[in-house]
Amino acid sequence: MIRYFHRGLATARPRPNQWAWTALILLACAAGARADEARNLDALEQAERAEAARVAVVARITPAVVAIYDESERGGGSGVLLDPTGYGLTNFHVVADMLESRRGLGGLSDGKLYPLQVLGVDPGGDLAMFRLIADHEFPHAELGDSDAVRVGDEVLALGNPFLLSEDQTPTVTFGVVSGVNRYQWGAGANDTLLYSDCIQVDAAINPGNSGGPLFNLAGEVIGINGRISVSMRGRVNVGLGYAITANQIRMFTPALRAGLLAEHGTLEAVTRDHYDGSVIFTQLREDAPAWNAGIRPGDTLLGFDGRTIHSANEFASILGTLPANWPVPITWRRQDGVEQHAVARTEPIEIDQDAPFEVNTTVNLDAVERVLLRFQAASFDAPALADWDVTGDSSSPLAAQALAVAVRAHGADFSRSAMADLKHAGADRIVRFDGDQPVTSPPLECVTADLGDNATARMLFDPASGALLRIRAVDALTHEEVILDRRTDPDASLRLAADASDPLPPDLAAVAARTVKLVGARVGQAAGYGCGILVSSNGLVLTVDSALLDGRHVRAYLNDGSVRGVQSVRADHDQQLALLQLVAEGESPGKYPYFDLSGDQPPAPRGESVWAGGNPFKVASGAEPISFARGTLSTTTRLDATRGTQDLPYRGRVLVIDAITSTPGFAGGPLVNAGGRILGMIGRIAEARMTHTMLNYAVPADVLASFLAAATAPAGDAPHDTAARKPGYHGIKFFELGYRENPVYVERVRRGSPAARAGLRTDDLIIGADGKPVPNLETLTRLLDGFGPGDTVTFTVMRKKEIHKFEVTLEEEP
Amino acid sequence: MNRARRGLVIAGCAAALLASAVRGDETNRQVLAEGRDALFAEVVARAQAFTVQIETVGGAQPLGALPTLRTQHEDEGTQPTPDPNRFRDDPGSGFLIADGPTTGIVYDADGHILTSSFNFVREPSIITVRLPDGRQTPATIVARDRVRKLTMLKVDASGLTPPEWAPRDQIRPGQWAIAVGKGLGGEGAVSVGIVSATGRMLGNAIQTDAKLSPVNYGGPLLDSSGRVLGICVPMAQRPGELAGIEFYDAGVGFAVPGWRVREIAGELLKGHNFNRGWLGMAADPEATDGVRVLQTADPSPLRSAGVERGDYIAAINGREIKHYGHLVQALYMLPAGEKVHVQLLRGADLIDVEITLADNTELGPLPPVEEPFDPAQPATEPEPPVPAEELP
Repeated sequence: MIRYFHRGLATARPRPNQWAWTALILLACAAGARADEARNLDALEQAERAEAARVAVVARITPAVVAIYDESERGGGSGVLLDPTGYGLTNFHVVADMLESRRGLGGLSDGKLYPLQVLGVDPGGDLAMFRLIADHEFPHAELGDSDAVRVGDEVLALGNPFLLSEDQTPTVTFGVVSGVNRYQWGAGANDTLLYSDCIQVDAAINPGNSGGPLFNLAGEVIGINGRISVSMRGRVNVGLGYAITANQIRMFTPALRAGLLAEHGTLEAVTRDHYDGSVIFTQLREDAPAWNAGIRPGDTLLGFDGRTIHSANEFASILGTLPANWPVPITWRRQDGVEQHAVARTEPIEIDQDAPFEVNTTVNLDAVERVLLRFQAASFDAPALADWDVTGDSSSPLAAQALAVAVRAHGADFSRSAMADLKHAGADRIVRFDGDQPVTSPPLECVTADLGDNATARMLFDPASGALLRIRAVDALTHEEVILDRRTDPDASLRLAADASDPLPPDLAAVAARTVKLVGARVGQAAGYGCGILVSSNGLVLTVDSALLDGRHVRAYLNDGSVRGVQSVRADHDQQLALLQLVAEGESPGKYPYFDLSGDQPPAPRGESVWAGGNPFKVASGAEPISFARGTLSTTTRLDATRGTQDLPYRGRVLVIDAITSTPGFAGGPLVNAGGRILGMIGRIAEARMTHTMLNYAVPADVLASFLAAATAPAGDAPHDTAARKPGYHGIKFFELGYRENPVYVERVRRGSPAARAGLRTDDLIIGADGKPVPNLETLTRLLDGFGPGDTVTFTVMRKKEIHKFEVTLEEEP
Repeated sequence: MNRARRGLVIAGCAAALLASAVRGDETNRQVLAEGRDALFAEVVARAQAFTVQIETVGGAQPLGALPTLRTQHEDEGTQPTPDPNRFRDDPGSGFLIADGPTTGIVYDADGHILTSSFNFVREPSIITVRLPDGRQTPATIVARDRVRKLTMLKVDASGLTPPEWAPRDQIRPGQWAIAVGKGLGGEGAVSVGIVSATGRMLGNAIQTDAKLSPVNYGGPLLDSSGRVLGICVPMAQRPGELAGIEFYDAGVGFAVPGWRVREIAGELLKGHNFNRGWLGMAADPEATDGVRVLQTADPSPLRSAGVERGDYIAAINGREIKHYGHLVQALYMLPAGEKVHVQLLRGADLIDVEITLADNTELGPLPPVEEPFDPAQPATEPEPPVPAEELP
């Protein structure tokens, strides 16, 4: 039997005001808006439906989420149940303190605490399996396909941050995928707890979320959250959380279920990034896997585990996801220029583990041998079987069944006979035929075929080409799983929409292509890295003026991985903007994609969804792509006396956003709206004076545009009037008691002065100026800095419990 | 749907229409993105009618310590040794207090404004409210709830527009939660998140991942129809008026839900203040064998209920107390005057008592303990040794 994975998640509950929407649309059209009302109705309805769908998904996945406590109930974390018998996953670091007794407690959203038993552990990948004990079945979640996760996808993180849950119901946080294939180095005693090839999200992940699931909007677990980047604020979310991928987890679950110590693998080979962008093997141990495969120092690594390798980081990252004794294909170029392929088998990384765990030595060595034989037998450009990567036990009957489906479906590329074969395998409702072309509606992306004997095969297709990309065969009874991945051009997209209800973000790849990562030396407090945006086809880059630019050897990484030097064109300390020119070595300046700041830059409305690009915490190293965070345009304000910090000279308008960008490395990155239009550029880290909170803001596009116009104007045009204004005279003497926080009382008003003429008197309390609150003298002084002779300032004054306003026109200092 | 909402929806639609007019090939997802932004714009515009800006002048100097995350015990300031001065309500955090404008919402047409008591920790000498029509007017504090961190103000105004509150049974995790705050001035700053949980802080808070901070404390958290889910306040699972500020913008925010707000507001309107409720006892926060009463204040609710040194607190209101943290978590949201059901373990006996939590001003000092009290010793008198029977 075949079923579609429908694009919509749930049918929206019709809301009582739906008729009202219709009426309103008609009104809007009558008012002269010249667009199509159906579409508009669609927009609002879709927004409401998507919200209802998300609420339904949250309700469905919540019961599978576990609040984990140690036996004393003082510490804990989160987890997720993966089958009805109570098996679940969490982080190794959540259960690390429970290993002596292997006991803890697991709370579910039914409000109950269940006894929890720790099973297998994977310190290298920060994973652990546990089992809850009860005499009934448990709700559970399904592992999804983390290879299908794309930057910009919406995600839900569930868990128990700060152990806030008193009734065991999880906290749900919502965000987007900021980056994929991220690498976070090892931590802890053994330098374990690696986050390899992991998912980076901007959903709030906090201490206590550890071990909790990251869901896509289809309600599938795509990862386990376990790590965050933290700033000087301490251990709270600043917009960067990392999740171990579901597809990595799959490779370790057999050992974990068996209660064993899962081991990661190494090839005993070290690579480093060459200046030309290639990745070179620098050290190999003799008689170790890489050496035995024929690799020698100086060789260039091209492909690994089916992926093209762009950086040494990427190689380490992929390797970190692999178990010990795992076969992995490598492609490299010898120094004589000959390309070679081989399948090497990883060696176990030994870890010093006190806990009483048996090492998992039973990783299907037989199966591994068979996979190796298969790879060795098949040359790499030959027939069908070699076109598939096998994850799982290739020797099992399930694998054979899956392979059969793969060969039939792929080998014949959806000819009638292939479809007949698929039908034979149980697929009778996938497509209808029009001539020889399969026609699918909705676009065929995911089909589940029944293989019989409780086994199913879920097939993922490329909706564009119709090609079969992946088969996952699952035995529902034994939980055995075999995944076949079609070997294609490693750069070809294997991405599959996990859920169609998330909004299409702006074309983030296009935004990334217009952004450069700047890397230099660390200078003082400033981070030695940041971003800039390309603003012309010949390589002009706009960024924030910061200490980073003072250092020598500042380099710019383009999105394609190539590196450029930079030259300073113009820096404006007051506006905190700088213009750089990319310098291409030995080639004429290329045609760069860029953000167009030449036209009108209309202001963005409050509440508009925005995407911020940047390189927070230098998560993207080398040629890796930048991170994205989604937020809302909170408000537009000025970084003036009431808001700016003393170390920020810029006083102009800023776009305040609710995405967290006040982290090192975000400054200079682009802020775009859903249409991909540039709204501004992320500013330097700043604290808002009056709220004592970090301010997340961008310098608006029109300010950038005028700076750019001035900086590129022909010589002779004064770009910027920086002449200090004369202070204005009001004639008020304030009480000065020496405290910063003292209210502003008028001690004396000079007779005949502007303030006296306006009506101000001794003992008046000034509580506002120019419409802004004035809690203290320092604030007022800074505010008045912006006014000169001839300007009129409105003072708001408290006099005998009443509020008065006085307009004072400042004069020249007498 | 009221007239105001309709107008706003039209404005929102028009914005979406304009946006759509300038784009070419739209997909459903782009349509959805526009619909979302139109919804948010509508909610924000709708909030203007009942959101006010509050300014304060004067008061105590802000604390100067740097922001840090502290442990419960540090904040509690509790000592294992009895200290007669320990029943103080400490603000509880070394955080700098915001001195900019803050946010409030109209509670009724007659000039009652609800906001967060966070905004008045410094006891400002002057409070002004900028009403939705732009008028700035002096305000006085009617009453405060220092536990749920709400404060009611009164301004001399009438005909104000109170908001529509979201019904309790329609608040679900995963739905939009939109915060509007006036801490950055102007028409208010927007932060969009979702409802993360509905029953936090012993049923006193909705949790959200919208970025809450001094920018929007005291302001509304709204659903996608513009109804108020709750009032944004800083909170953490411990007492202290500043507890929870360390979570600002971290995706862990709280709002007192509408149904609870109205319960509390009824009392605040009468001028009733809520203060933290105390048991009046000392215990060892580090003890691993449960919470044992080391000493009780004289007078104190515990003492008058007959609680003795050496008793264990086994449960409060049905929640099992396994360690000191549990005790704090069972009590931090309960104001003075509230009755709690305490189960004591004395020897092998479970004893149930009902206790009315006290205001700290009603508590006496902890009597000094003359002899070092040995918690390891049994609380009850050791049974007299059974006289050895004389063998025949």
